[in-house]
Amino acid sequence: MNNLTSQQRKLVYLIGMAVLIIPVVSLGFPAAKNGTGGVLAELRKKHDLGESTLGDVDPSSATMNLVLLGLRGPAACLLWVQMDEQKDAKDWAAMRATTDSIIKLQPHFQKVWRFHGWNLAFNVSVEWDSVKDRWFWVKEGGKFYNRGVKLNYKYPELYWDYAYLLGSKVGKSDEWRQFRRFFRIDPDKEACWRDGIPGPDRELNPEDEDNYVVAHKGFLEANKVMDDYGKEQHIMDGSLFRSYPGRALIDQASLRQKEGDYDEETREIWARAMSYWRDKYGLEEFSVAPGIRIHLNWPLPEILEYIKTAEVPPEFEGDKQDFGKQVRRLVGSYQDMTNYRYWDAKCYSEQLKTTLEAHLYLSDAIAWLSDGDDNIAQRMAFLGMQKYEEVLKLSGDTIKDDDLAIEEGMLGIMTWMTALQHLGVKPPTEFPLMALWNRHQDRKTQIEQEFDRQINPAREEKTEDELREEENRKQRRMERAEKLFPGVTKGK
Amino acid sequence: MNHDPIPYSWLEGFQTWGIVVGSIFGAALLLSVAASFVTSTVAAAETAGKSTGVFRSLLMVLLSPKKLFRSIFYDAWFTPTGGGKLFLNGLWGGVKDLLFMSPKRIWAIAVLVFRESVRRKTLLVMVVFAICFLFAGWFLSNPAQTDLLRVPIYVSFVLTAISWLILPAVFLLACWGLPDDIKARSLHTIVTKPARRSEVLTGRILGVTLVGTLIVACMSGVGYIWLTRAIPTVRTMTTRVPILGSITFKDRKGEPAAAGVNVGDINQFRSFIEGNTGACAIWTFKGVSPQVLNNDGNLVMEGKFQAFRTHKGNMRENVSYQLAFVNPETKQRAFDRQRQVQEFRDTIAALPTSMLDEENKPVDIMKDLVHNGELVVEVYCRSTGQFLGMARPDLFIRARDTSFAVSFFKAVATIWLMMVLIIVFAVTVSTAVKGPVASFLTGVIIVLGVFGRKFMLEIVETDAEGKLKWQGGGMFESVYRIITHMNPMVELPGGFWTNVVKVVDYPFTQFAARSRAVIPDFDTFQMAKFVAKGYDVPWDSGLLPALMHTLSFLVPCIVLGCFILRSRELESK
Repeated sequence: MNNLTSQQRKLVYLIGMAVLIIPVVSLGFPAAKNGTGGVLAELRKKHDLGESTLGDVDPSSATMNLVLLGLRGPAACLLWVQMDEQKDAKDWAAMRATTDSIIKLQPHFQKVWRFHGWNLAFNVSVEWDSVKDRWFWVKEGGKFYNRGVKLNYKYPELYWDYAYLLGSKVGKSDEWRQFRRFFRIDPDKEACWRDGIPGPDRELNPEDEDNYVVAHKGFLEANKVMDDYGKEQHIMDGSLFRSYPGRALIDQASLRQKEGDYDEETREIWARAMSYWRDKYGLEEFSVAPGIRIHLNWPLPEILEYIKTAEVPPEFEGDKQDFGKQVRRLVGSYQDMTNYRYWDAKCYSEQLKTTLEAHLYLSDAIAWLSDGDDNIAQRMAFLGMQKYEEVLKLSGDTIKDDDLAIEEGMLGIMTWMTALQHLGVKPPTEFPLMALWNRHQDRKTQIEQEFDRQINPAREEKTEDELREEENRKQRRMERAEKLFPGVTKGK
Repeated sequence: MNHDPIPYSWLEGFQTWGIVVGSIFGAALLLSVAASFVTSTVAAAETAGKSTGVFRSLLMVLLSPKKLFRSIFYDAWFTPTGGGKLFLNGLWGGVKDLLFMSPKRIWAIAVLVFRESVRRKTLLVMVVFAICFLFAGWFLSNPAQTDLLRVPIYVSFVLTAISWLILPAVFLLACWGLPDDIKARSLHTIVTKPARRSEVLTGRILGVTLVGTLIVACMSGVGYIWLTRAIPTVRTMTTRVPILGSITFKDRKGEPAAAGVNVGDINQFRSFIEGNTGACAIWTFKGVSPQVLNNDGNLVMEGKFQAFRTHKGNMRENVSYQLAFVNPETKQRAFDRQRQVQEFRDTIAALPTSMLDEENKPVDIMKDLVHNGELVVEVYCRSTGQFLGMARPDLFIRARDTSFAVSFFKAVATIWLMMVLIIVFAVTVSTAVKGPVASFLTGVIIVLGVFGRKFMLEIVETDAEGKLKWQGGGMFESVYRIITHMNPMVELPGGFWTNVVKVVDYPFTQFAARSRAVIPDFDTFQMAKFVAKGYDVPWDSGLLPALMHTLSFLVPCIVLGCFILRSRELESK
């Protein structure tokens, strides 16, 4: 080498560099959009080690982590303490900003997203007195989860949290009536309404749908992530987790009934819920014990057939009887745990046209009684009772013992009896639902309180929209009564 | 406001300052006198040719009453090397230095320091500042948020960035300047000229302050422009000028109470009153005159109360409250209409001055209800079973607003005062020790001032029964608890060693608590809490305390620094 001239040495160095650059490029070539790239890039992709494989990459977050030189853990802890102090001091703007900073430091830490999303939507929202303010923070929580999902599209838990928030927080909290309305027509006119037309916050409800429809989609997405990426969730047992898309449909239909919407649309939702429950969820396979896979929609003959034909797992050391016993026991306990049979019967019962009519007539009867029209009330209640008896016969024992079904039937009878009493007519000794009435006399006092509440509802100041909706309902009720009992609404 | 702005108390301020500065200077004088006497005694012994070492010489004098008497009352005052004489000469020289400072020479030194700082590329700190602002938008709040939520965050960011970036620049300049000059002997060229040591010290302080002022001015200007670009509404924003009152409470029976009800909220800043009972909060405002009325002649009251529901109640309505205006003398009372709480927001009520009193007679707030400039306002919660939380700053009379820019630059002024304080402190320390030590000492003082002051007070605070509020004890007790895995809530077991630990801990704890007085309170300079929340920086509880805090350190530091520099041998590196 020493004999080489300066120029020759430079040439040697150049060749050496060119040779070395080949493995460097081959190893370190960045990944292309189509997935090809250097060896390291491909390995990173294969083993899901790259940040981009987890979700979108936020440049500001990446910069912050780079600048902190690996101290992001302590920094996140300090910020977390600060966030807690700001929350205690009710400095919400600062708390929100600190939460964003924490997320920039830990963009792919699932628990951080879950904790803060819940914190904003549940803990912070209840600190506010005004329902509109509470709604703002519920939305903040939802949007936060949404961001989390974009940055971590392989975490089924985040999809589930988002859907659960839109389902349960919006549909089941104390403020559910207002929240459900705000979900479709956001109170923030400036930020959400388009050209002055009332509408939802498009970030949460882009298609302007019912909250449970969006929740249903979210739960489906969570299940899809599990299927597509083979990911596990760590919230609850898999059989329960997978039931949520169906539960969202059930909740939607139940809530529509609670809001007084006894119509074909509600019945269709029940039918969809039944279809999902039986044909999708019920047929999913769950690994419940070593070597045992079951599904919940599994009639006994099919179970017995399976036991007969299936290969006995080694855990049972060839004892087919023990294996059969275990399979039957597990199917039963998983059906109990998920309340599978009840919801199956409920969906079946509720999607019947007769059930819809029974609900409609019984609720109309109470409304007529509340309005002081005892004649229509007693006729409508009697018709409802007849239909309800039919429903109970069709639905089987599961629904007969259901608390809500018992309450509804008892309320119907009370409406009928009260209306007759007002009319000075003695009730006949035999009437529809008499067996139910006699069987549940012990619950009469409790149901009477609910009856009083429904007959004399608390007078609340209502918005114009609510008054208009109430008027429409009344009009529809009149039309139904006129159709069933021509001439009864004359002069009303 | 989530804090209670306490107005500056002149009496209390001067009292504390006098005690602290008096004690420090008293101790310094005593030490100086003692040192002078020791020096003169040893010198006398050496002159007499009987030098047998410092300690032996001293011992001989102390053991002989005659010699001691002669040393104190004759040698000290009438011999050329007498300690008393030396002390008095030194004291007088220092006083002369301080009294006859020449502004011209101070300015000349300050200009030199300024040039030297610019040469040292101190102004490059502004590049760091610029980088911060270039990328700040990435890390600050979500742009989708409303201006109401963004303004506090952006304003806090700008003011905090100025505070924290100015510190290292001036801190290093102030700590290293004098020691470097001494080391490079460039100070010789100054002290050999007719320049006093006090002028060297003051000139350096002024010079570094000029550099800092230039940086703060640039940063605040750029910061303000950045704010107006990031949130355009800032340009038209105003800040509120609150006239705060004092607050008292009445319980549910209508009897005076020390505070309202504690509803179990972790934040105990606010006290709660129960709805539709005799409970109320009573504000007394002083200095109420027609000048506080707005342009329409209305009295603007602003409130921010917190609601606490004990039951769901009416979800369509917020918890409601009512104001009652009371003449403190005649007790004539006029009720305002009921209003709903807008939680965590400021509810502004422009009240016409003419109202109806309880007997439906027309009253004028200013004429009939204000007595000698004093107005009493009672606040009642009007939702049965619900509670309303409030603290002193939650209700105030809103005087005419001032512009946002004025408040912003007032906040910058307090940052400037903080910078001056640090410069004064650092330069004074650097007169006694070398650069690294001065930096370390000043750094420790800053860290203690920012993070430690609260703790230093908490460790000696007692409750109404005289029991220490702090749990876990002092340093040694904490060590004992850590080793034995003992919870701070658990009482220490009685016995000899517990007593030993407590006795040993006591002086340390007390020393830490007492030292608090000489550590600057940097919280005094933090005005972002006002500006970010849309309030004007008040004079009595904002600017004045900051100014007095700086002055309280400036005067003793210059005196101390001057004497230290006079006594320092500048030949030693």
